Amino acid sequence: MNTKNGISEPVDLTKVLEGYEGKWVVISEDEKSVIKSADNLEELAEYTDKGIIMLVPETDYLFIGKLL
Amino acid sequence: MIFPYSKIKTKDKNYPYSILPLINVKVSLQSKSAITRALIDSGADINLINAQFGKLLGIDYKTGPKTSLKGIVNQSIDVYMHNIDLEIPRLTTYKTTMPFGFIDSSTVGILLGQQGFFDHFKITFEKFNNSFYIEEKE
Repeated sequence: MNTKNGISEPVDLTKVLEGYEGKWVVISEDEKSVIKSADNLEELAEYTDKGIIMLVPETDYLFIGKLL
Repeated sequence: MIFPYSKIKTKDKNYPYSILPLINVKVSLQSKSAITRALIDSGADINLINAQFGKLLGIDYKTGPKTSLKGIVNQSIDVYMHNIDLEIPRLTTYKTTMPFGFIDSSTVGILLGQQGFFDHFKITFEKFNNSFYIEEKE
């Protein structure tokens, strides 16, 4: 884990995920590139075993789940 | 084991970045599995998984027991419960079976909540240090 002034640095996914907001992506295991993207997970079926699946958030909102 | 927070860009000019406790998890059901990025959400009562994972894991997710969730906007949404095996790469030594609610949503990938995930793991957040710890329950 990288540190700066004694504080851990977060993993910076901003550049890797830029332009993929709201998309499903498969990112490489080193988390440095997007292998494939699509509007739904089914379209990524051939790639889901090649990396890490992620639904890239459109983070202009916050989500809180609460069971009734 | 220590994990770093992840930095995600937002559209908000006042808060251009969101720093989130995301981890890679392996979810599996019988012989089908996927490694995916999940958000640890201590405010969620249950684990949630996007309904699109149903096909990937080989199930018709709507066959599970139905329950309803309500978020901060006070709007309810149906979810369908199934038990799924979860592993955390490089941490867990065995699969842990826990309930997940399949949710048809464009905003939820996987959320790891209180019932299931927090029942099985000790999680210590150190947001001030951009890191968090996860330990298997003794």
